[in-house]
Amino acid sequence: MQDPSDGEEGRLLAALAAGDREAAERLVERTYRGVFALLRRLCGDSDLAADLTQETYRKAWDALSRFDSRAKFSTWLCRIAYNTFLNHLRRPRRMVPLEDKIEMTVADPAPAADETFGQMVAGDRLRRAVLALPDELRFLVTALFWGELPVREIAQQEGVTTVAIRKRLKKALQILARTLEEEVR
Amino acid sequence: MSTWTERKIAHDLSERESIEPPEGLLEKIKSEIPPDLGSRLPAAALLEAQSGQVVAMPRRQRWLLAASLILMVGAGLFATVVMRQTAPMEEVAEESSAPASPPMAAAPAPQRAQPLAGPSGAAPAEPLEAEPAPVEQPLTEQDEEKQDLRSRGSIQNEAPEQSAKSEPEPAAAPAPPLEASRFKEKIEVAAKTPPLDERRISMGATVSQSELEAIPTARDPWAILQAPPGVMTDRTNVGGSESGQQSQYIGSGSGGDQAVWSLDGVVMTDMTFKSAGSHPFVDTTKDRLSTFGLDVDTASYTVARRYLREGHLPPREAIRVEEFLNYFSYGDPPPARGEFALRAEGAASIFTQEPRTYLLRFNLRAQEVKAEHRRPAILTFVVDISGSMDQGNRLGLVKRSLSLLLDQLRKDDKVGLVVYGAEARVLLEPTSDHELIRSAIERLVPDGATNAAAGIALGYDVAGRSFRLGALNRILLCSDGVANVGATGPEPILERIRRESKRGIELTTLGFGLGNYNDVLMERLADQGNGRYAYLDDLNEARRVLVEELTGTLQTIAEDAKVQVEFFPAAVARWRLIGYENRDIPDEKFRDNTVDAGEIGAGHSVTALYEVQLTPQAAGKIASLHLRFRVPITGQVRETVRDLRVSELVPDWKNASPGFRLASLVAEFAETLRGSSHAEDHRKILRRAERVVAEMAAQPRGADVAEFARLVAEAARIKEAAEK
Repeated sequence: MQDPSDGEEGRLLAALAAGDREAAERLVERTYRGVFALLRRLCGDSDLAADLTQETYRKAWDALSRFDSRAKFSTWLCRIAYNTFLNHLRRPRRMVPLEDKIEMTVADPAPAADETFGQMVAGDRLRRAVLALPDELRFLVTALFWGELPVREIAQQEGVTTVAIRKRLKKALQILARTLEEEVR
Repeated sequence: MSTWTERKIAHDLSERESIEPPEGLLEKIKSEIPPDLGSRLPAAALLEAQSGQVVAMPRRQRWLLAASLILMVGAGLFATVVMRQTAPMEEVAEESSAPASPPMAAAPAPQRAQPLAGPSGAAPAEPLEAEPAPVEQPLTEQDEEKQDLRSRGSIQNEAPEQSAKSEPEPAAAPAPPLEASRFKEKIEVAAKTPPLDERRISMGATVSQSELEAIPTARDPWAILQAPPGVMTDRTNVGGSESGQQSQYIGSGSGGDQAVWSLDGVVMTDMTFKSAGSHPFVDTTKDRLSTFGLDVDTASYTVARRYLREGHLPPREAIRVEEFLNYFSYGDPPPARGEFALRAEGAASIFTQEPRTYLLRFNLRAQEVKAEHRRPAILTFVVDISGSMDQGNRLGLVKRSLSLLLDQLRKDDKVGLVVYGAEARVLLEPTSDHELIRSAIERLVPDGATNAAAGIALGYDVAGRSFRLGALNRILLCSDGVANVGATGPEPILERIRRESKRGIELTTLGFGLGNYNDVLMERLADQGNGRYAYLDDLNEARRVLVEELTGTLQTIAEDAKVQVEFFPAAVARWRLIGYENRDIPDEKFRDNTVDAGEIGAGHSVTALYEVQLTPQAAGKIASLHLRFRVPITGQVRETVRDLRVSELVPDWKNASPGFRLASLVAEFAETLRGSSHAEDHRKILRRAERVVAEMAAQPRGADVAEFARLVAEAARIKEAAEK
């Protein structure tokens, strides 16, 4: 989701505000791979990620009037994508399991379904551990590693210093290490 | 198992398998860009100022650099200690810090850690002369707290409100925090007061309730009858409603297929049944894909049965072939593993003289779930107790049906009861106390007008209060569909149904009664509510839907299930899908997971028939059936395939499996009922059906087949009487 030339995005946004619809298409072309990759890493499923990517843009267009033009568009989009994913989790149905508890409430009698499901979960422990982090740490790890956002951008988006971000990152990695170690035992 | 160190985690997290967005995603997103998007952005001038901000960056960073240098000196040794512990973080810092402007390149970064081999190699290539690694800055406790407070206050919004006027922040502590976040500025806007304040101008008209009620709705023929000048009607308003409940509006003395209201030759009502036409033959070289959403409704068959039993042919518009097909069991076994068993077979068609013409039958059988394994259910019944429900003891049938269902429920299930007549009210909040439920069912008595919208809305309120994650949260609407949906039409309530079904409360509709029965509305409600639509013409049907198939009615196995059949031009010259006319999905939307399609319950069986004409040298694959659906709860999307080859075809209809023959007869019967048919056709079907009846009598649901043959005989008799 990184953008080598900050100016290009600003130019596209200005062109869009001036009524150039193609500028919106260029913006999408520049950003959608990053958004998709982030969501794919978050949810672990390509189809779902594609759906959520579409939803992210829908939300972004709806919220565009509230876009703070001092932030970067791609960073802002990353935050929306992240929130879209969280909302998806909170939906009562069509849920990506975060905790074993939820899996157990489902009396799914299909052995085949259960098996594939188990493999998915086993191969995905790290992802689940990240999703189990407290919200601000979770967003940080997500944006940094999966959204490939620079620390500086995240700091600006979150309204804190880069130092605070790195301290949080340290904390997040510690929690992850502890969680995953416990699981092994 | 390797141990999880922080370093390994950071490494694993940064690993980048290449993730390519699926084809077509870009086009989909682009197609959704609103045309007025530009106007939603803040003014262009403001955005261009953003480019100016880029120029302003170095100055800010230089200031930052100075601050960090001062702190760095103070930090001294401590920093190196911290540094060693934070190695993984710095690795990240390097991967992700953005390129800085040229003046920064010379900045001293003496303590920068070595980039680690491995993960950083896969990281996006970036210039390394980034910020002067302020990682080493140990912050004082106060600084930290301040930053945390600030961060908590400002990170939650996905789109921070843009404020035209931002106050300067209260003065910070002398040691400047590394403020890399907001670019603060103060903008004053001065302008004259506009001559008109747009926000305060509006136009309105007050419409009284009686005026609203006077608007004739298409559902209310009595109201329309009164509307044309010079028409006298002898109807009186009873109980606040004239919506036809005092009489039936089937045209008297005629067959059901003339059941349309007209006045002086002008059709006065929209039809309560609505035909979706039928699919034509398609040339395979022009279009080889057939795509449709699955449907497990069976109501059309039971509606037709009710008409035939009363000595009328059902209206043509009431016939949906797929609902006839899906009423029957064809002896297809459920899957041993997985969600679905797919079956495909074909044999020569008996209903045409065309050469090389075959019928293909595809069957999708959903896995069965034992009653004790289904999820607990929270069922909110919304019962229509309007005057029309008093006819023919409709309400009595509802009450007996509910009692039947009650015996099937487990201890962890709950039942609530909402009724609507002139107004909607809660009779019983969802409870598992059977005594309470029974006494509430007893208290159902007819009452005045039909306010269906209010009833459904209240049902959702009740179900919402008792909503439980992981349970089957379901509303069951029991009605004859005579819905006074109000002057605004059914759209608001359909919108509510869509919203609630997304939230996890589904809607099943159970139809009762005939005459002024509204088939279209009942089907549409269930369709929007991701539920099933069944028509209960008698207590046996109630037993079938609410007792034998209860688990399937409640527990969904597959969501948004759709089918795409691909025909191969080398083998198939042309093809025709029989039924599923109002379930068409554009071919290119098959892999679009947002398309709303059918919900399939446990143990349900779905049958689709195609008529195909083969090419003279047909060989190899005829067709591939793709089934795509979403698994509830996990949201995983699955797709399975079943091929059918020329070598699998049975050349003679008589030698095909009994299930195949039954399906083709059922489809043919439905087609003759909705087309212009002669008694001769019914007799032909009957002769063949009788043999199948004998073969299938011992099977489960064998009685259904016998009854089918009786209905065909009845249709033939009615038609013969009419032709004389």
